[in-house]
Amino acid sequence: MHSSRRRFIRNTLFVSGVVLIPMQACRRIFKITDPPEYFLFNTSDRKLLEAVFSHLFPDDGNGPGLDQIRPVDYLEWVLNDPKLERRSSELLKKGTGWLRQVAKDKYNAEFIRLGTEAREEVLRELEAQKKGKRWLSKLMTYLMEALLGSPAYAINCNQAGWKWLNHSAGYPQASLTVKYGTYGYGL
Amino acid sequence: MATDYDVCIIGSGAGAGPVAYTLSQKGYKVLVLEKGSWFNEGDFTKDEIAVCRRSTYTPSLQDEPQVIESRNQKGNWEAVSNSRSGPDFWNGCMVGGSSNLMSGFFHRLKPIDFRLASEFGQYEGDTSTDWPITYDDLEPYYTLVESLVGISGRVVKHAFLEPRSTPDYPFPPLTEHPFAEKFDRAATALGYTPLPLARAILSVPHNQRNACSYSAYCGSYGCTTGAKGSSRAALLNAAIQTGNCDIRSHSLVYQLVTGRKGRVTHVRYFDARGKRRNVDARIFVVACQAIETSRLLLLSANSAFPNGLANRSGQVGKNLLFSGGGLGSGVFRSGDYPADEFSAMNDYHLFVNRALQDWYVIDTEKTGRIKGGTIDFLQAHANPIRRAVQVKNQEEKLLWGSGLKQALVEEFRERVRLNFEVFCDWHPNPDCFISLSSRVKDLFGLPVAQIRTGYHPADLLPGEFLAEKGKELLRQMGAQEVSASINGSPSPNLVAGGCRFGKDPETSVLDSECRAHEVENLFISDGSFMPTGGSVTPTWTVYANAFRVADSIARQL
Repeated sequence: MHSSRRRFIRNTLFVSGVVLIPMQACRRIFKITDPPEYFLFNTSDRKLLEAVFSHLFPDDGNGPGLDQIRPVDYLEWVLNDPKLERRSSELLKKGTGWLRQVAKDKYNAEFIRLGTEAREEVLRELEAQKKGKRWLSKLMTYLMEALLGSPAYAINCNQAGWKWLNHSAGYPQASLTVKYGTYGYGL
Repeated sequence: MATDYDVCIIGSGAGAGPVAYTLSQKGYKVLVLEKGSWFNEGDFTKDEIAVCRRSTYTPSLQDEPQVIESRNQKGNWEAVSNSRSGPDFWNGCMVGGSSNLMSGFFHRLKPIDFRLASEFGQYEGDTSTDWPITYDDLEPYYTLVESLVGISGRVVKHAFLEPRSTPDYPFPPLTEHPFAEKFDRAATALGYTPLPLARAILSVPHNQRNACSYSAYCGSYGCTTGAKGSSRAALLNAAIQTGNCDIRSHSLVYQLVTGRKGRVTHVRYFDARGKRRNVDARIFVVACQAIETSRLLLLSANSAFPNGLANRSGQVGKNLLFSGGGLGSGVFRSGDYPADEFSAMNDYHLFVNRALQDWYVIDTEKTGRIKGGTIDFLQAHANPIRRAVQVKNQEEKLLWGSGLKQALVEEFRERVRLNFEVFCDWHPNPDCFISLSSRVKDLFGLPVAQIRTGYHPADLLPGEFLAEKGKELLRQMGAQEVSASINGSPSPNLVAGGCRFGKDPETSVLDSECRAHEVENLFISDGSFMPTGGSVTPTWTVYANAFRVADSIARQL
C-alpha cells in the first residue's frame, strides 16, 4: 500500500515536471524505465483503447485531437492510483476483453481491423450489455476528465479542451507540488 | 488539579472556531485537535480533478468507509458500506473543516423555526420538538457572525424578514451577475419579493483577509484570497495570534475518557505518525460535524456509560437531520439574446445571489397551513468536467462521436443554465439516525458510523410546492427546458442533529447551553444540537450557536 502510494506520488510529480516544458507536454507521460508492472495495459490493449477513443471522440475537425487529450496515458495514471476502488480497477481492465469478444462474435475480427460502421455496431452491442455499458461510460468519463482537466496531469495539452469550449479555467491551477496525489487528507 | 489546557476542542469547523476564538481572546488556554491536514490560502487550487473528482480533502472510502442504510426495492432497510457504493458523507476533513469548502449561502433561521412542533403540530412518525431557546436568544450571535466571519449582503424588508438588531450587513453586496437584474424584474412581475442572498464572502478586504477575487470556482473549493468566511480564515487564525490557542492537525480523537465523578478527564487520539497520545483539559468540546460527533460519543462507551458517553437516554445519534427539498434548473440559449448580452450571461465569475422566501409558511386550500421554505438561485458551478459528463449521459444511450462533440460545443458556448435549490425542513423521524456498524471497521480498527437516511413523507409537499414557484420564476425570466426534482434523498453536505438539545434529559442529549445532561464538562458545539434544521442552510446558525456556547463555557471556567 505504502510503496504503491509512493510510486503514485513519484509519477504524479514526474508528470507535472513534463508539463512545465511545453515541447514535451504531449509526449508519453511515463518513463520507459519505470518498472514494467507500472504499465497495466499491454501494447495490444493500448492499441485497442486508442481505437476505441478515436471512435468515441473522432478526428472530424471539431475540437482537439487525441494526441492533445491523451486518454490512454491518463487511464494508466488512473489505474495506478492506490485509492482507486478495486471494482473500478477491475472494470477498466476487463473491458478490453469484453470488447474483443463482441467483435469476434459479430465479425470474427479484431476491433482495430474494423471500419467505422462496424466499430459503431460493436460498441453499441457492447453498450447493450449492462457490464459493457458500465465500462464504456467509465471510459467516457475519464475521456472527459482528460479533455477538460488541468494540463498538470499531462492531459488537455496546451489547454486545448478549455480553448475549444471557451472555458475560463480557475486560478491557480494544479502545480508541480500541489495536485492530486501529492497533498490532501492523510498525506 | 492542573491540566494541559483549559479547553480541548475536537474538530475545527464552524462549530469549533467560535469557541476557540472566544475563549482564547478571553485568555484561556485552548487546544484544537483536527484529524485532517492544515491548509492555508496558498495551498488551495482550482483543480477540478483533485477537488471534485477525487477524495483529496476527505478520507479514502477504502480506509475510512461509512455504512449507509437505505430502503431497497422491497422497502426493507439495507446496510451497505460506501467503500462499495452509495453516497459519501465526509465533508472537508482539514483545519477549518468543511467551512473551507462551503458556498457560503447564509440565512438566519426565523423565529418560527424555533417552534416548528408547536406552530405546525407533529405528523405521525415525526419526532420534531421546539427548541429550548428562542430566536431572541440567538439574535446577538447572528449579528456577531456578520462582523467576525464576514457576511456581505443587503437587507430587504419582506413578510418573513427575521428581526434584526442592526439595520444592514457590515459588508456591501458582492458584485452581481447580469442574471440578478433579470431575476428582480421577473420576481416583481409575478408579485414576489426578490431577495439579495447574503454570502459569507468578503466583498472588501477586512482584517488580514482579502476580498473575493471572483474566481468562478467557489463552492467545493478552498478560497485562495481568504475572503470566504471559513472557521480557519475568519476565526482560528485570530485565535492563534492570541498566543492562547494551539492547533494540532493530523490528530484523530477516538475516545473521550471519564473519571470516577463522571467527568471527562482526557481524550485519546492518534497523532500524525499513528502514535497513541492523551491530552487532558478542564472542559471538552466536541465539534466533529454531526455524524462523527455522535460516532465519537458512541465509541467512548465505558462501564459508567455502557451505551456510549452521555447516552443513558439512548438519544445519541437519534433525530439526525438533513435538508429537505431538491433542485431545479432552466436553460437560456444564445440564439435568443444579442451576442454581447449572452456573452455576459455565459460568464461564471460573478454571483447571482438571489432568493425567494415568500412562502416560508404555505397556507393554501390544497396544502393547509404548513411550513414552507427558501429557494436560492445560482448559476451551476463552473466545473467543466461535470458538465461534460452530464452531456455524454443526457440520452438513454451514451452520446459519443461527432454528436458528442457538437453537443459539448452547444453546452458550453450556446447554453447557460440557471439553477435553484429548495430548502425546507427535514422532519426528524425514527428512521434517520446514526449508530456504530457491528461489522465494518476503519483502518484504525474502530467501528465506522452507520447512517440510516429515512425521510418523512411530509417533507415532500412543501418541496414540491416551492419547486413549482422556482420553475415559474425561471420561465418568467425566459428560461427553457425548465425542470425540478424533489425527493427524500439526504444532503451529504448539510447534516445536523444527532445530539439534540432540550429541557428533558429523557428526550435530548444536551441542555439548553449545549452541555451534556449527563457529563458536566462536556459540550457539543457543532450542528448536532439542532432539534430541527429550519428551512434554510444551517451554517450561519451553527456559527452563531457556537459563539453562544463559548460564552456559556466562559461563565463556567
